[in-house]
Amino acid sequence: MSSGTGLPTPPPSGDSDRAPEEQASGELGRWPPHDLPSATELLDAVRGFLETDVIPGTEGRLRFHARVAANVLAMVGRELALGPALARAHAERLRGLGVGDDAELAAAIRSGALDDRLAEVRDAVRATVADKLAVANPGYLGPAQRD
Amino acid sequence: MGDPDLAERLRGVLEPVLGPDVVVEDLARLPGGASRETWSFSARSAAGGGGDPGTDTTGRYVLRRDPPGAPVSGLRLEAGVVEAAARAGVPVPRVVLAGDDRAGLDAAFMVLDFVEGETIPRRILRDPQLAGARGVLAAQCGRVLAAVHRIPTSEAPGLAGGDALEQLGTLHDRLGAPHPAFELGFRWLAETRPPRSGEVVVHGDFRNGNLIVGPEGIRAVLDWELAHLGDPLEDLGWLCVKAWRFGAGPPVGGFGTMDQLVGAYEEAGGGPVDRAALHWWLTLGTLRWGIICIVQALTHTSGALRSVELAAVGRRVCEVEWDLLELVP
Repeated sequence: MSSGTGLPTPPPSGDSDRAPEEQASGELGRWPPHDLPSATELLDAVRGFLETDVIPGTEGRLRFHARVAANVLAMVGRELALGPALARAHAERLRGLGVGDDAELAAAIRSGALDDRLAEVRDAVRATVADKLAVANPGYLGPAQRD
Repeated sequence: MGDPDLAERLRGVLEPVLGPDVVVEDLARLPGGASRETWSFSARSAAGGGGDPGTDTTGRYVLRRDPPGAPVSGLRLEAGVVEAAARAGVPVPRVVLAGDDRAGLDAAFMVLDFVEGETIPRRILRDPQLAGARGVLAAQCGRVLAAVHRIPTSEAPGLAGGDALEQLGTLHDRLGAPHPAFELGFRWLAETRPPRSGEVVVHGDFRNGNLIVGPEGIRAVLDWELAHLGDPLEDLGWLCVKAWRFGAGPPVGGFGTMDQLVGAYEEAGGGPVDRAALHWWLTLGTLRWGIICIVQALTHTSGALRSVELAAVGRRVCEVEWDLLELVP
């Protein structure tokens, strides 16, 4: 469909009167100066392609890999959305145990340096693993286990 | 997915066994088998040689081969174990041919009879036609494992042995990917190690996914590439690792109970099973699967073998960490 200018009529936009920075900060996976679609929308587009066109039209190994690929894209989408907050929570837990990263925590568990705080260690490790699952496979935990 | 070049070379190695007129058809790569290729194909040979269709014989086969160029292979060893397993009464596909003739197929390979049936775990757990099988699979696994553990070690020469926990720790340290949950697991395993219950031939990867299943149950046990000498409880524990339930509830492969498995194993002469020791081996198996997930992801990220399947497995590590924390008190 085209208007008198010979150009297609754009669909209505809900946020045309907002400043670009506002749009960027308000939208998932969208950073200036990149154009639409946002990273999240691009992931969804590719995932839709895999799920609607590729998976039904293939079989065997290719179909299996297309399904894996679609799942991976969904995971990346969750990481874009949750990544920064989960990283902050993880850093906070490590700080609470007096270590800088997972490697240091692993070494402290092995050496026994945190043996007097093992319950705390276990809680922190469990909370971090639950956060990793929230990105990798949120369906893995039953509702009761998800906090 | 065809591969005319592979079909032609396969024809070359089959000629001495199936006759000079053998024709290889319907060559198709099967899903899974990330570290070793698996293909199915038909081989037709004019047994009479005169083109009389009445004397044609057609067989369906499976080719297992290492990725072309793979350095060292245990495929030759694997073929020997499969043959020893058959003699011990384990249901396995017949080995038609095995070789490491690189000139023939670019890699070590093995040709087996094709066994009809289902191997895809989710179908085994959900297909209505296999409902009867699901009722008997855990007990059958117990009986089959008892037979596996009866294979005389002298008939499977060359298998590696050693301490499973130590080997896992060494592998884990080499990866340079420390995981606090895994450390908690290693510590618990080191502190609660049960006495060894024997040293036998273990399958090493006995689980839902490596069984060919028909409506009546197990038709064949596949994938013997990880066979080694070890504690018999290693196989029973591995079978119960949560990943092999594929989302279903029952603790043994998603299809049965521990009592069914252990009862049948003991009844078939597999030796008494200490439940606490079995839990220890289940925990070790869970940790092992977590470390294999890391190895598979590294196989992809290092560029050794690029695959979306291997890449995705890396993000399953946290599932295993969770399971491990549930198992370790």
